[in-house]
Amino acid sequence: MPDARPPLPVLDFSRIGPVVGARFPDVVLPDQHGRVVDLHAAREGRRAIVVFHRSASW
Amino acid sequence: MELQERHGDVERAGIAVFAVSYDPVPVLASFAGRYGITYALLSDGGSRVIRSLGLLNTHIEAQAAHYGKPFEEHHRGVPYPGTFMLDERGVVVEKRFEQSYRVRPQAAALVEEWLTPDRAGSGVRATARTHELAVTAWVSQATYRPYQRLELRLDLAVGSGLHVYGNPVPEGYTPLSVAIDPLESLEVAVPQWPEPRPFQVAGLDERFVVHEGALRGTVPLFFARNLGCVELVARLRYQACSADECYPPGEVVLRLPLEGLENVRDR
Repeated sequence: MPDARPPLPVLDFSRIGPVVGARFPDVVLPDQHGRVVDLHAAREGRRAIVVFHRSASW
Repeated sequence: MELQERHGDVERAGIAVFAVSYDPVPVLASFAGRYGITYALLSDGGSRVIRSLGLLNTHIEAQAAHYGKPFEEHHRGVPYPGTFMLDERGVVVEKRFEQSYRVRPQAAALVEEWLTPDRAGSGVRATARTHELAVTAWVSQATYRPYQRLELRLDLAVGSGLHVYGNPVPEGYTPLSVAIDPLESLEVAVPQWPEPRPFQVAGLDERFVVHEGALRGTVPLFFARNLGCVELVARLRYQACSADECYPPGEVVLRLPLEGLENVRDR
């Protein structure tokens, strides 16, 4: 019985979203306390990791 | 959650952490309160930023179909799952993304790499040594959750004056390879090795490629279900040669215990 599931699309993430070598765009969003966070200002000159994930609720 | 466990070390190392999702602030507040999250959870309600960065997952319908799942309204607006690492100037120095919305980005492993770039700090490891090589297998954490991306690393040190065959090899020779023993719901991607270098054996027409010295192989994998405590068994196969003789193929078995955890959801 062949696998009938359609294959996962194969995505080249080097070409999707901000690219390696470029400054990460300015992002200003509220945090869990409702405080407005300017990502680059909040880094205060530090390195950073920025995680994109689907949801805290599913 | 694994990221939160390391947040103190991350802060001390001078790394700021931001996690972006489309969840409204109250959902993030509840999640942060319940699980003690101290890093910034940013609320991109309406996915405006996700869209403007070009990270909106426009393939989610096809991805859901791949898993036999119907498209649901809450799928709309999610980003591709992944992690950016920024340097002190805010420049992207690395990005790692997952091919499917179901796989959760393994930010904790990236953090480990930054905190301990040259050695495996925490996590779980196994080592083995033969006459021809030494190998350390390492997973950056001792636990797994369903669809959480893990990476098995194999750090090899090929003995002085020796090389091991890379891929492709002429028939009859054994290239360096790793196989993971199957476990229910364990999905293993293609192992990655550094580019081997061409090698000519005097008196032979066959073309060889070889690895020498220190090299690292990586095996991306994840479990689709929580199986509780499991043993990840990696079998490394190789064939080593010196300048003038080849040894029989060898196999090294490395066993890594991992503990399964449930996914954390705030509902």
